[in-house]
Amino acid sequence: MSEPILRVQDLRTQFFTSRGVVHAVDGVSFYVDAGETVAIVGESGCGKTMTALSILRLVPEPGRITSGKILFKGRDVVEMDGDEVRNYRGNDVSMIFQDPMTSLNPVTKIGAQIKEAMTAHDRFSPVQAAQRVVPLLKRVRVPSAERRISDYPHQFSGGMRQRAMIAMGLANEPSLLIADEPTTALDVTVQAQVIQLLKQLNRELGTAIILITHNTALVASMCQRVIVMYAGRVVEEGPVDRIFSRPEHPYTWSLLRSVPRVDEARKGRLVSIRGLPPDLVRLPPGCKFHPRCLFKVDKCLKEEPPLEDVAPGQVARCWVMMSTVSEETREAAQASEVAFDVAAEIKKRMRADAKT
Amino acid sequence: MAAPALVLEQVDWENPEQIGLWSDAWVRFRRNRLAVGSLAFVVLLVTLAITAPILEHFGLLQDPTAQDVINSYAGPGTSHHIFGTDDLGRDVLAKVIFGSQVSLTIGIVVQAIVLVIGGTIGLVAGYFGGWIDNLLMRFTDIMYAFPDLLFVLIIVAALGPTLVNIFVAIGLVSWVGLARLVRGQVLSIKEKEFVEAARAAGSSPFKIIAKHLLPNSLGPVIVTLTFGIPAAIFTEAVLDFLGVGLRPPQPSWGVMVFEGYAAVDSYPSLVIIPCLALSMTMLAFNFIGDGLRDALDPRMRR
Amino acid sequence: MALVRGAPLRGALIPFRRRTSGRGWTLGFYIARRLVWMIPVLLFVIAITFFLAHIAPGSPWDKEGRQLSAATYNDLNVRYGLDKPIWTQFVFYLGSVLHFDFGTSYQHPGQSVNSLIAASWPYTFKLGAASFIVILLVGVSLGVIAALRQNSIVDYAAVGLATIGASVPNFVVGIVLIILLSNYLYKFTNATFFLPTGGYPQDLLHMIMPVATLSFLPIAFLARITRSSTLDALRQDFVRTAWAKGLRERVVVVRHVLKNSLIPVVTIAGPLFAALITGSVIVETVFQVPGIGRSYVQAIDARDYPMILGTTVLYAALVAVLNLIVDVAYVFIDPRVRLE
Repeated sequence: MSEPILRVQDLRTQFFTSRGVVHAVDGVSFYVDAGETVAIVGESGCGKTMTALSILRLVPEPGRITSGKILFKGRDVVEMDGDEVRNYRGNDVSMIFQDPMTSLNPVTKIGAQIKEAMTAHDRFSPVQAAQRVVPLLKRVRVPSAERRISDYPHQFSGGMRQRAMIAMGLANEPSLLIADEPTTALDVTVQAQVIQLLKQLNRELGTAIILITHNTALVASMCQRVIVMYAGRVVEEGPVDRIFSRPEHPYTWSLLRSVPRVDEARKGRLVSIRGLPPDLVRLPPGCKFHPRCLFKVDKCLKEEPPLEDVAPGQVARCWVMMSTVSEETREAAQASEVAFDVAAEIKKRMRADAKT
Repeated sequence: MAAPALVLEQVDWENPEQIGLWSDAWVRFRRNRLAVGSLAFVVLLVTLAITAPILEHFGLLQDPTAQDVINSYAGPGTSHHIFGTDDLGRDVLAKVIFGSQVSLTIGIVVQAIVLVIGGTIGLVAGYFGGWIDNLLMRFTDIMYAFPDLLFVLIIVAALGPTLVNIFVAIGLVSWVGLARLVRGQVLSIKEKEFVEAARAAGSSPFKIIAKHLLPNSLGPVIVTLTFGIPAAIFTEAVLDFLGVGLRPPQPSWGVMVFEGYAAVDSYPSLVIIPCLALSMTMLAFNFIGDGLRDALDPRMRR
Repeated sequence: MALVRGAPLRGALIPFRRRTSGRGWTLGFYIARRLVWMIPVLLFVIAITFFLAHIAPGSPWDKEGRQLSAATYNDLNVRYGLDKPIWTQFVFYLGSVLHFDFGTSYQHPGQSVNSLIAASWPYTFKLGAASFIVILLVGVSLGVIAALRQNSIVDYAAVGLATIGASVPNFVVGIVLIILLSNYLYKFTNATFFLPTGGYPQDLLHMIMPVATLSFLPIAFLARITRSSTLDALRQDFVRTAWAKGLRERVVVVRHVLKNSLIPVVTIAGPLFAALITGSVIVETVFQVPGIGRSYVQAIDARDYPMILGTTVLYAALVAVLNLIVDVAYVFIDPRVRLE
C-alpha cells in the first residue's frame, strides 16, 4: 500500500489567551490517502477547523502549533520555512472556506482572483494562467463563464460564489483540497449541488478531499472515511458505512441518533446530546466526553482511553464501546435521560471560574 | 476553540438583574485612565472658572483687567505673577483662568444649541419621513458642504462680535452632524418590531420617542456632543485670533493669542500659555469623548 | 443626491444581471444632474451671504479712520447703489453675477473683484494643492504602517500623533512652528512668504511652514481613519483566503488589504477639502500669505460687500465641485456602488 499523502501525527495546537491555554487541537493523528474523501465531523468548537488551519499553517494569533508533525508527501509542514509554506499553500494543498461572500475579495474581479491563485506559484506562466481561468469555471459548472470572469463577487449568487472558490482552490491541481463547511452558508438545494460537484471533481481529478462538517448527511453522500472529533481529539475513525451502521463511541452514536430520519416513525421528543460543549481551557479528567455520556463507568472518570482498534480500519477511544451495550440498556438510558439542567451547569462553571 | 466557554460568563442565574447600560459604561470608562485623567482636569477647570470671582474677591487671584504698566511684559515666575504679565501689565494667570470661562461656556452653550436644533430636525426628519425628510436633508446637505468657519465669520460679522452672537453663530452652523446622527438613529429604530408593537397598542408618537428612541440613541448623541465641545472652543478661538471675534480686553484665550502675537518673537510666553491652555482643554475633551465612545459601544459590552 | 452602495448579498439568489454598457451614459447624466443642482444651492448661499453682509452694523465707509461728512456718505452710497432698497440691490447683484461680473471692491476702488481674486488665487491654490499631496502621502502611509505593525512603537506613535493633531488648533501649530523656527532658523520667518523671490529653492522653503501647519490636523484624521480601516480589512475572511492561496505578503497587503481599506478613506476627502479651505483662512493669516483666505477676512472686516460675496460664491462653487469629484471617484473605486 502506498504512503498516504497526508499524515498528521500527534498534532497539538494551542491558543495562549488571558483566560488560560486553550487546547484547540490536543494530540490529533490521522492520515489521508491519495484520491480519498475523508470527513471530519464534530460539533462547533471540537477543533476540526483548527486542525485544518494547522495543516495549512494558517493558525491565527494567539494560537500556535506547539508540537506534532504534519507530513505531506514526507515533508513536515510544521518545520517548513516561510517560502516553502507559501509554495505549499494553494499549490500542494488548498482550502476553501465557509462563507463565500466574505471569503472573496469584493473589489477584485472573479477572473482576476482565480488567475492570481495560479500566478502566485511557478507552475503556470501568466499567459497560461489567464487561459486556464475560463475552463476552470466551466469545470465547476458556472454558466456563461466567459462573461463571468469580469464580474465581481457581489454579482454572483451564493452557490456560484462557492463554485468560484472551488475553482480557485483547484486551479493549481493540488493533491489535497480541504473544504471547511463549504455548504453551511448556502441554501439546501444549492448544498446538494456543491457536494455533487466536489464528488465529481474528486473522481475526475483524483484530488483528495477533506470535508469538514457537522452535517452527517453530507458525509454519508460523499465520503469514504470519517473522523469524529471531540474536545480537540479524535474519538473515532473508520469507513463511513461501518461508522454509520455500527458506531462504537457513545458520542458518535449520539450524533447519528440526533438527526431525525424521514423513514423512521416519529418517536416523540427530538433527541439531543445532553450537556454543554467542553471548556477547552479546563477539560475534565479521564475521558473528555464522560460528563455527557450515557454509558460511562467508573474508569471513564479517571483514565482517558487510548484509540483502540475495534474492527478492520476502525478505531475508537472508549472504555465501554457501544458494541458491548445491549439494546435494552440503550433504550433504558435514552428513556431515563433527565432533562438537562443547563442553568445549574452554567452556575457550576461560573463558580469554578470564580475560584481560579 | 474557546468560544462556547466564553459565552457562559455573561449569564448570572443567581442574580437575574441586568447590568445596566450606564453602570456598565461607567465601569468601562473608569478603566480608561486617560479619559479619567482628562475628566479630572476638566472638572478642575470648571471649578476654577466658576469660583474665579470668589477667588479674586479673596485675593487669591488677581483682577485680569488690572493694568500695571510698569510691570508689563514680566516673564513667568516673577513675584506676584506666576505666569507673568502681558503688554499692559495684566496678570496672565488671572487672564487664563477668567478666559477659561469663555471657552467652557462656549463649549457647553453651543452644544446645547446644537442639541436643540439638530436634535429636533433629526427627530422630525427621521420620524415623519417623506417630503419633510427630503427637504430637511437637502438643507442639511447644503450646510454640510460649506466650510463652517466661513459661515460663522459672516454671521458674527453680521450680528456683531459679542459673546452671545458668537454662541448663536457657531451653534447655527454646527448642528448638522447631530441632525444626521439623530435621523439615522430614528430611522433604524423606527423599523424595529417593538416600535410597531407600541404603535399598534396605541402609544402616542411622543411616548414612543421618549420610551424607545431616546434611550437607545443617547449614547452616540452624548459622544457627538462631547466631541463637539473642543470644536466649538477651537472655532471661537480662531474667531478671536483673526480679529473678528471677541476683542481685547475681554479675557479669552483666543484674544490672548491675538494680543500676544505682535510680540511673539520677543515674548513667546504670552502666546504659548494661552495656546497650551487651549490645546490641553481640547485634548482633554477629546480623550473624554474617546473614552465615552468606547465605554458606550454596545458591541464591546461584556 | 447620494450614492447608494449595493447592499451585500448574503447568499440570496439574484437574477444574473449584466453590467450594462450604458454605465458611462448614466454617469454623464449623474454629473449633469449634480451640476444643475448646484445652481439653486449657490443662489441660496449668495442670498444668505448677501443679506447677512448687509445686516452687519457699520458701513464700508467707516473704516478709513476719517470722519466723512454726511454729504460724502450719501454720495458714496448713491454711487455704489447702496441707497436703494435691499431687495433691489439683490436683484441687481444677481443680474451681474449671471454675467460673471462681481463688481468692484470697495477697499480697492477701481479694481474688479474678479481681478483681485484672480491675483490672490495662485497663492491659495499652491498652498492647498501642496498640502493635499502631503496630507495624502503622509496620512495614508502613517495609518497603513501603524495598522500593519499593530502595537509596535510606530503604532503608538502614530495614534498618539493623531490624537494630538486632532486636538491642537492649527493656528497654535503655526505659532509654535514660528516661535521654534524664528529663534533658530531666521530664513524661514520671512514675513512675505509666498511672494516669489525668484528661483525654486527659496519658494519651496518658504512653503514648508504654512503647508506643515495646514496639514497637521488633516494628517492626524487621515492616519486615524486609515489605520482603523486597514485593521478592519486585515480581519476579513478574504484576507485569510489570500494567504491560503499562497500569495506573497506584499501581494496580500496591497491587492487585498489596501485595495479594500482605502475605499472608506475616500469618504473623508469631502470633509478634508472643507478643512483645507477653512484651514487656509487661518494659515494665511498666521503666515501673512496674500491669498484668498486672508483677503476674505479683511473684506469682512471692511464690509467690502462685493469682495465678500465674490469670495463666498467662489468657495461655495469650489466645495460643490470638489464634492462632486469625490462622489464620482467613489464610483470608480468601489465596484459595489450604484448611482442613484
